[in-house]
Amino acid sequence: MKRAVCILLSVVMAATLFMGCGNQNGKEENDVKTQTDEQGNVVSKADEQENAVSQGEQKEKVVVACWGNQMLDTYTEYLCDLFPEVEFEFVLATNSTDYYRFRQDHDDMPDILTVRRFALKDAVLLKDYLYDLSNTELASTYYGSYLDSYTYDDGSVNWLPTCEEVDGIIINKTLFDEYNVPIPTDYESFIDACETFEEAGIRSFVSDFSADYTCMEVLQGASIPMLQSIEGRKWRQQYESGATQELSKEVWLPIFENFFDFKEKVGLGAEDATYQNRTPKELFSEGKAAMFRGTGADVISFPGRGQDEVLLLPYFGQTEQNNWYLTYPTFQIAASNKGMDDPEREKLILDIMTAMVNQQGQDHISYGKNMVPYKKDVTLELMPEMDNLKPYMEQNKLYIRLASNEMFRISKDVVQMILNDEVKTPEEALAVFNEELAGEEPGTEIVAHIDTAYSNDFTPEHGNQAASAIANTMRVLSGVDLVFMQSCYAASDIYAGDYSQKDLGYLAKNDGGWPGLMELTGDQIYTLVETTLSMTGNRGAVCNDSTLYVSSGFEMDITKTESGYTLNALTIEGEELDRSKTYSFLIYGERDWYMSEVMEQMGVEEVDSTGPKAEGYLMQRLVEEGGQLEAPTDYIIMR
Amino acid sequence: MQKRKRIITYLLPVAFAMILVVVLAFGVLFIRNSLMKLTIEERSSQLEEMVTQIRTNLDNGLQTHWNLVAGLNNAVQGNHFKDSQDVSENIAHMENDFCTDMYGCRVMLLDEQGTAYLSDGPAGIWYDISHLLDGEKRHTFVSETDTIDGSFLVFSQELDTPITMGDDKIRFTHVVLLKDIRTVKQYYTTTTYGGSAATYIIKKNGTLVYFDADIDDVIGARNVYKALEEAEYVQGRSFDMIKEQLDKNGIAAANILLDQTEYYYCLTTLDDYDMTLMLLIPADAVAISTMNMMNSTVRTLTIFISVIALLMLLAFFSLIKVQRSSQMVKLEQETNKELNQLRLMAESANAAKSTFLNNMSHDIRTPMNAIIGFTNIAMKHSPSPEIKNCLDKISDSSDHLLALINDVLDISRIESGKIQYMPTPVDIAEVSNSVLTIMSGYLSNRNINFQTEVEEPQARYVLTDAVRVREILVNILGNAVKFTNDGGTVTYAVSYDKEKDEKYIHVRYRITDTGIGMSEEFVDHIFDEFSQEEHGARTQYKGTGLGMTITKKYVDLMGGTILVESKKGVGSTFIVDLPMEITDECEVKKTDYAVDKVDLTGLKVLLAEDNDLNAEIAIVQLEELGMQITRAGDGDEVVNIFTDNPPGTFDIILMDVMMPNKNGYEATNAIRNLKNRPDGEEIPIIAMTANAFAEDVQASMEAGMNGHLSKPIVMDEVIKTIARNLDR
Repeated sequence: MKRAVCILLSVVMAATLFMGCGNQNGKEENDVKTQTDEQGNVVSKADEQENAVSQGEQKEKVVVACWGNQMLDTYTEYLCDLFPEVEFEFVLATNSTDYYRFRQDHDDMPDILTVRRFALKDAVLLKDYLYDLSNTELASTYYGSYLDSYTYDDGSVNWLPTCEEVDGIIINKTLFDEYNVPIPTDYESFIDACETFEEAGIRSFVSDFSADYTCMEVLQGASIPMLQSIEGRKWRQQYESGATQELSKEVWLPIFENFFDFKEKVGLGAEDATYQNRTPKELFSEGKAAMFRGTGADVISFPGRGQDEVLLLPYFGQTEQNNWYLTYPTFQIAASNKGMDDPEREKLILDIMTAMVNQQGQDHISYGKNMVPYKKDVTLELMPEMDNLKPYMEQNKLYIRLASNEMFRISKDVVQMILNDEVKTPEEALAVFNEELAGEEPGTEIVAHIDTAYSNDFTPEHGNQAASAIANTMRVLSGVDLVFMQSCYAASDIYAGDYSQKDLGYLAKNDGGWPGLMELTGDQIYTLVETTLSMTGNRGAVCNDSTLYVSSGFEMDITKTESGYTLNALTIEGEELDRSKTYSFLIYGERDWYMSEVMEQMGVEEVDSTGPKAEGYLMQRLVEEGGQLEAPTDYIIMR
Repeated sequence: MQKRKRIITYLLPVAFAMILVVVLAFGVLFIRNSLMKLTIEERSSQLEEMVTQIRTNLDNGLQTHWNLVAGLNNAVQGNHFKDSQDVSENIAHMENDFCTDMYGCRVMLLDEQGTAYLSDGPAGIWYDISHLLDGEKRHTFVSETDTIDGSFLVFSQELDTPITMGDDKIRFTHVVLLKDIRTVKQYYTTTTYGGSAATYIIKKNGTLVYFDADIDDVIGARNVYKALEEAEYVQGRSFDMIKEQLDKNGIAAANILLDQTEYYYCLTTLDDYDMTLMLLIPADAVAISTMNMMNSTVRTLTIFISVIALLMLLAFFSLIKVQRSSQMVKLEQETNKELNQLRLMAESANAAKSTFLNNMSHDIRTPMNAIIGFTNIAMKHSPSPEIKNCLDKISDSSDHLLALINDVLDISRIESGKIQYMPTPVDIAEVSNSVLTIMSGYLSNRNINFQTEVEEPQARYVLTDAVRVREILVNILGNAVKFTNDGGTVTYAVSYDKEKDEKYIHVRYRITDTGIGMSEEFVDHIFDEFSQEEHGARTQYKGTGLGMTITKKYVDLMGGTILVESKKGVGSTFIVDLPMEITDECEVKKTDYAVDKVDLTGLKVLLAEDNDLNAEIAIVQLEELGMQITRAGDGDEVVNIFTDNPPGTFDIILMDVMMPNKNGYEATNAIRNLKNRPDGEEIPIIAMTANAFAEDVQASMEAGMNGHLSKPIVMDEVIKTIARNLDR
């Protein structure tokens, strides 16, 4: 019997061994759970995550640099809602890739980067610090022909575009009808229209030629057929790959000839070179100008005299077949490769990026129905004012602007010289442009030193110290009693050390930030702060701690609730703000949407926006005066 | 003491037994792992072989299209278009002239701004214009844009001189051939992996440009190389190693784990194009038969070892009482020996698989030769009606069995990439004639109205594989006759379409019947292996079910297309379109001899044949033609008989290949090199063997023989071959 048991045991053991061998190839159960649905939309795990958060678990911090304050409208709020387990820190960056070079120089790259002005030529300098998206599902959802211009020679991809902003000539159709001017269909009829309006005492075509992007876009827009010719495209490919660093005479001399012709026939001059962003739009809104260069977003913001019908027309060529719209991605996104070796962190960042560019994300960017998608799985509706665009989309007559940093800078220099008659011939313009292309970039020499570093992380005890230092400096230099500014306009930590003029600008340089100098009573200031804290869907809305406002000259006592923030009291050095007293007050923020909204709520009509921007105050204190920033103050009590 | 004795009696044997089992288990594991390694190598190599074939097909296909583009370039040069309508009409004409159904392409002209003009008018700025800016004149890439619906393989050629339109403001700079990517599929599609193979076309930097498969894209990334880099590799390999191999050899294969599933992939670069082709296949679809064989070997081994182990244990226990210590040593030695033998068995099983294909051909054909031969002989001896009936059935059955063997072998060889398309100069009209001659046999006892509509070709002499063309046509015509009832009609039509560049001709064979037709569902599967429609009376239309599969594979091999239209109860139409390169008349050898005019009476034949049955058949049939036969029983004997007889004793030698002592090749070599016998170098030696593959024919020729006849022997072929070699 014992023998039989022994034999049985041995056989069982052998069989077990053999069976073990046979199962080595068995498929392991895959229990990885996905967070995205079939359309690539991120599915919120709100219940699970909110439970985790309520149980006091540490939130994962993700720093997102926003290229412009448009993103504060509903986009940042959308991300906060979708990822409650994430502590987002939003900063308002500038719109160029060089800002990220500055952040990387201080080993302080944000987790997610966004940028408006983009050229692979500029972006390649960041390649080593950014995450390669080429092996992600996210990249595979783009049309290959669009993504080719984001792909490096080695096949890697750092940046992905969101939807496409469309730029052209905005016309007041009602005004055209009133003056019996036919809607232009080509360059000749456009010039005819200009002459008719000028004779009638109405500015025909105006634009903010003080802005580099306007100079660059009008220069390129007036000659898109040349830039899109085979020769033009070949030159561009060489320029963007770094094979050439000068404008080709064959391509660019006709472009300058066209611009001189445009300037003469439209009647542009030295005055136009001084026009700032708002001037042409105000002329247009008042019916004093018939046309201006603008985007789909401008069509929404500046609808003529209120009830006027406006249209976005293309840049005109010699024939209708040569008309083109100028376009560019409203912004590009990328991720730092810092921390991406942790699979969980990597997945989170990619999920956030997916949410930024999927259908929901792009709906939040193109909420005005004024943009065109680059992704296969996104559909965006267009508003009626942009109906003209549809045949051009079908024919792919959408020119993507050449937008390297130097193109912006030098286009502005040369176009302004042409408008001021400092450069008198196309040949001279080409020579000056090439000379600047070959020269050193200005503003790179050291001009200032900051002794003390300040963090722009928000803490309930001290608020945002970097933003506070900037706001306090602005208050002292502007001579006002009080300053109120959204803290994310401080675009990074303030690092101690030497600064060039260019890098100094990156501390607080967002084109969308404007000063609003006004006289306010204590009551109005209460209204201002309460309105701001409760605001949603506006370019000054607060969606989390990093987008709260910083005050200078007064303190804010606020409570953080489940739905947002409420104001308890405003104090000056601990004493409650006198509601009846009048204070000189500087609001720093977006002026067309945010500032007009709070002014309406406060019943204020007078505002002076001609003062310096935040960047200007930094230059004044640190460069011109050779001084230091004012020390930050504890401006907030968070309950 | 008693206790110790009990321990020695019971525990010691158990301990030894357990050790033995463990050793055996490790032995099996070792063998299994060795087999696994061999299997991976075998699977990779099979995949590489397949992909090499695909690459050749694709290279040839791409080159053919560049010829087309050159034709388009010539066609547009010197033109001036009035307006865009004139452009569209010209493009439509060019499409009509150049883009036959087979090419499935569109023509596009590009102006200086990149506006695409098609036969249906301007289509806006072409999204892919940026591909043409690097200064090169020619570009090939995959295009999938909104400009034109669909995915295309682009062949773009910069015009030597731009063409103008209207008042010369618009200048066309490029002519572009857009080949519908679905028609490229014929070059890379393989049914070998049961439709589970995914094809990726990749740029050199790893960027995916085209994906095609019925299954999901498991890579799911824009950069395929990055995905392959991050995949888990089996056998300690890495993507860097594979990439190095790819750069060095132009082809590389590996197996990886993606989402816990094992896949094999094979990459191959296409010279002269920024295109790399990748085939990705789930491991369980690669070399299924090899895997099955390996698994079955491992299973058998496992069972065998288990039984051995059990027997050993029993033996161990019985022997232990008698000679415990010495027996244990002996048993261990025995076990090691057995294990060694088993390992050798396993290795030889794997080797056997590799030679199985060739052996199957030879070993089955040899007895088939006897069956068919003796049946033919018996038929010639006026058998009684009952016996004739039996002989007819034997003849039918053996013909069917031979067809089945041939078809199975052909399928296996095509799928393993061993059959390659080797065109030779041919008179294409003669191919048609020979097909009709063959078909006359099929029609002899049928009442079928057989009509022919054969055009006179503009160029008779072409490069193609006449045997395969004939096989394609006979297969289709044979089916047409088989499935058409008496009183019905079968039409065989041949037309030719010459291309603009004058180098190629398209031969279109159209075979129509008024037979029983096929259902729509069956037509979709007509080219699948072993597909036969259920007619309710299968024996009436017996076949192997492989004929159409082989036909399709041959057509694919030759870069052609085959279309089928059929309606149940009405009939079927098959259209075979084959491109052939035109050649000179002088290159075509006139080779055929009219069998009935050849007189072989008195011919002295030395027949080398070791198999008595085969020898008897050959002797009877050759003697019936008046030849005098001397038989040698093996390789040595044939050399001796030839040496022992003076020059002129024999006119010709018929030589079996697989013979004892010396095989046919060695015997031929010996005869060709006999000293003092210059006739040994000249006497015609014809291989007469059951080795029937193209490489066997090649081997015969390389051994110094003058011809090759495969068994079962067909007397007409024997007569023709002898006549050709003796110039009778």
